[in-house]
Amino acid sequence: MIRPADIARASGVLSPVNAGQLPSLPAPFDASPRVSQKLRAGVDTSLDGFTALGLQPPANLQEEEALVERFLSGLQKLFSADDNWPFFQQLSLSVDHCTHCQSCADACPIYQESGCNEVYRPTYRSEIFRRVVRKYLRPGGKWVAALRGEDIQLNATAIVRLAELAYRCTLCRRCAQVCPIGVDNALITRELRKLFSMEMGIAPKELHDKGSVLQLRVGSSTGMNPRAAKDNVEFLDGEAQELTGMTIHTPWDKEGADVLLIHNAGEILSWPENPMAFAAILEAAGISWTLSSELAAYDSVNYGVWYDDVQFARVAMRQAEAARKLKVKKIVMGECGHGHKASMVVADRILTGDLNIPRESALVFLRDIVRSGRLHLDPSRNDFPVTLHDPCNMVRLMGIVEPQREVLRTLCPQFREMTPHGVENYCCGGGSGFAVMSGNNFLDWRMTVAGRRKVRQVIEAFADQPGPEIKKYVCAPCSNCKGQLRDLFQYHGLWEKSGIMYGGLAELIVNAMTDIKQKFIQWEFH
Amino acid sequence: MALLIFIYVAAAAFIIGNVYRIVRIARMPAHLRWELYPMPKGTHAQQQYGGSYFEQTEWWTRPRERSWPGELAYIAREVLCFKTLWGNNRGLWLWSWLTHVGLYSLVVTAVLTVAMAASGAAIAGVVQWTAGIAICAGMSGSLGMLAMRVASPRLRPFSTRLDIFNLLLIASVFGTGAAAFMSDARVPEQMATFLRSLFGTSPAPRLTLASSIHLAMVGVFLAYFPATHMTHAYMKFFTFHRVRWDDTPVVHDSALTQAMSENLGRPISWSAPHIVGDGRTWAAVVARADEEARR
Repeated sequence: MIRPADIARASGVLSPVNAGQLPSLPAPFDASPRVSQKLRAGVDTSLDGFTALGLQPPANLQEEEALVERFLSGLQKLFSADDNWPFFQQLSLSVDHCTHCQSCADACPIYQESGCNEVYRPTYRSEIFRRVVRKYLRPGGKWVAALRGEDIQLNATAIVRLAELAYRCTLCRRCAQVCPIGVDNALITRELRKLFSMEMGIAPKELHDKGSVLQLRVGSSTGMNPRAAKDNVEFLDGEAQELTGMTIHTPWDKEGADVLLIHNAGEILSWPENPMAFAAILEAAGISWTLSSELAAYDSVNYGVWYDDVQFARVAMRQAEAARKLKVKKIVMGECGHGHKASMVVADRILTGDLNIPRESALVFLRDIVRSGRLHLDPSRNDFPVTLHDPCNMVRLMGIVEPQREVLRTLCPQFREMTPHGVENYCCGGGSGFAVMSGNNFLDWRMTVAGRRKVRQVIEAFADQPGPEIKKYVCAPCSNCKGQLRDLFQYHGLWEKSGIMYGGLAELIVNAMTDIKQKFIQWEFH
Repeated sequence: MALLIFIYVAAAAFIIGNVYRIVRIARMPAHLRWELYPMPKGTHAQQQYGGSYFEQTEWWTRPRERSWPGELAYIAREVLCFKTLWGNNRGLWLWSWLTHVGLYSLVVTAVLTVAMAASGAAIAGVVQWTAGIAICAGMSGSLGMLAMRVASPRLRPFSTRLDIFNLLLIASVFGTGAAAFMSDARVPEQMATFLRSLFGTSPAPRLTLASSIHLAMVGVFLAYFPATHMTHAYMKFFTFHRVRWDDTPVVHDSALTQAMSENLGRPISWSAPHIVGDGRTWAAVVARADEEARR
C-alpha cells in the first residue's frame, strides 16, 4: 500500500504502471499496451516509470537544498493575496476542507483505468500538498505534523515526483463535481503546476517554450507567424473553393466586421477541413467576419490556463486587444475547448472596460446559423453513425451542452450519445495540455492510461456496427481533443479495425449543405 | 464553577474561531472565475442537464438570472439528504448521514434547551425526544464511520490520526449524553438550569458526574470545531456559492470591475525567468510580454 509519505522515499519507481493490471478493452482492441522506454539518460521517472517533464534529479546536496528552498518560496506565494489573488480563495478552501471520503476516486478515469494505481488517486497528490502546506507554512507545523502522523519530508525525490504528478491529471474536474464539500482536487493540481512554472521555471516544453512563449513571440504555438498564417489560409481558401464550388475568400483584419473568428491555429495545419468548413458556412450565411493577424490573435490557444497565470493573462490580453483594435461586435471562439474557457470564463474578469468584447462559442454561433435557415441542409447526406465527444472545457466547465446536440440531432440521422455524456462526460485524456505532449515516453502513458476510458466509450458507442465497412464519425468540437483522438485511434487501431474517424462540428454542417456538389467529409484518416 | 468557566471559554473559542475563519475567507481578494456545471441556475431544463447562459444567442445582451431558490433547494437536498454522497459514495452515505442527523438534532436540542431556560416553557419531553434522536443517530453514525475508517481498504490509507480522533470525539459527545440520561432522566431540566447559571440568572445546579462529563465533552467539541475541516458545515457557502456557482460576468458587476482593477495593481514577486516580479504590479508584468515582442 502506497501512502502519501512514500513520495519522499527514494526507492526506484514508486508506483509503476503495470500493463497487466489495466482494465482490458473490448476485442479486437484488447492487445497488451506497448510501453516504450525511449528516455534520455538521467531523466527522472521515479514516480511511475513515465515522464512529462524530463527533469533530472539534483546532482548534489547543494542543488537539492536550493530546489527545496525554491519550492517552499513558491508555496508561500501560492498563499499570498498579492501573488495569487486569482485563485487564493479557491485554493484555501480546497486545502482546508477535504474529509478524505474518497468519493472522487470513482469519478477519476485516470485512477480507474490505471487499475487503481494509488498515485493517480485524486486525493493522493492533493493530500501530499495539504500535508506539506500544514507542515511548512502553518505555525508549529512540524510539531503538529508529527502529532497527526502525517509527516512528509520535503526532499528532492518528493519535489521531482510531485512535479511529475502534477502532470498525471487532465484537470477534467470530474472529481470536483462529485465532492460533497465542494473541494476541487484538480485546482490543487493546477496550482502545483503554477508553483513549478511561476517560481521555479519548471513546465513541459510543449506548453511553455514551444507553447505560450512561442505564441507571444511569433504569434502562434504552431510556430506560424502572421505571414505564414495568411499564406496557409489563402491556400486553404483555394482548396475549399475546389471542394465546395463556392467563392471563398477569408477576410483578414477587416475593421468593423461583426465577428472576429479565432481558430485554434493547429486546425490550419493539422485539420484544415475545419477552417475551410467555417469559411464556407460564413460565406453561405452572409456573415460579416474577419480573422486577425495580430500576434496571438489568430490562435485561440492559451496554454497558460493550465499552468501559469501570467502567461495566461498575457495571451488573453493580446486576443482582446486585437478585437478592440478591429472594432468588431463580438469574438467567436472556434472549435477549441480550452480556448473557450480561457477567453470566456477565466479571463473574463481581467478584461475590464473596453477590452471586454463579447465572446461567443462557435457551437452557439453555428447552432444559430443552422436554426436561421440561411443554409440549405439535407440531413440524409450525413446518414452514417455519429457520436459526440463532449470537451470538458466547453461542457462541464462552461455549461455549453445543448447547442452542439441540437445541430447533430438536426443534421445526423444516426446520432447517438456516449455513456455517460454531457456534463458527466469523460475527458479524452489529452486535456490540460497532454494532447500536445509526447516527449520521452509520455505518449505511451497518454495512450494506455489517460485516454483509455475515452477509447472504451467510443467503441461502446458504435458497438452495434463494429466492422470497418461502415464508416463512423466521432464529432469532437475541440482541437486538442481531436489531437488526442487522432493519436488514440492510431494507437488502438480504431480506424483500421472499426472505421472510426473523428472531426469537428462545422465539417458535418458543410457536409449536409446541398449547394455543395461533392461530399465535404472525405473519410481520410489524418 | 470550573465547568462554568470552561464552558465560557469554549463558547468564546467557538465564536471567535468561527468568525475568524469566515472573515479570513470572505476578505480574500475577488478571484477569477472557476465555475463548474451543473449548477442550480438558469431554466429548470438547464439545471437538469447542466446548461448555462453561454448557450444563449448573444448572452451578454440578456438579463442575468438570479436563482436563490434553486441554490437553496440544492443546499437543502445536500444538508438534509446528502444527495451527492448518495449518488457517488453509497457505502459511506448511511453512516455519514446518521452522524450529521445526530449533530443537527444536537443543535435542535440545544436550541430547545435555551428556549426552556429563557422562557421556562414545559418542553422537557420534546427535548428528551430530540436528544434521544441525536444520541441514537450520532452514536451509530460516528461509530459506523469509525469502523469504515479503520477497516475499509478504500478509506484506511488516507485516514489520518486526526480523522480517527475527530470521530472518537463526536462519538464521545453522544456517548456521554447517553450516559447522562441513564444517570438521571431530568437532564433537560438540569441543562436548562445550567444555561441560566451561565447567564447569571440562576445558581449553578448540582449535576450528576455523567452530565458534567457530557458538558465538558460538548465544550471540548465546541472549542476544537473551528480548528478542523468540520467547518465545511458553513464553508460550503463559499465552495459552492462563491466558487463553483459563481458565473457572474464582469460586465454585469461594477464592484467586481473595481476589485479587479485593484488586483491588477497588486505587486507580484514570482521569480521564474519569464516573470521576475520584483514587486512590479500584475498589470506591468503582464504588459512586459508586449514590450519584449516589440524588441
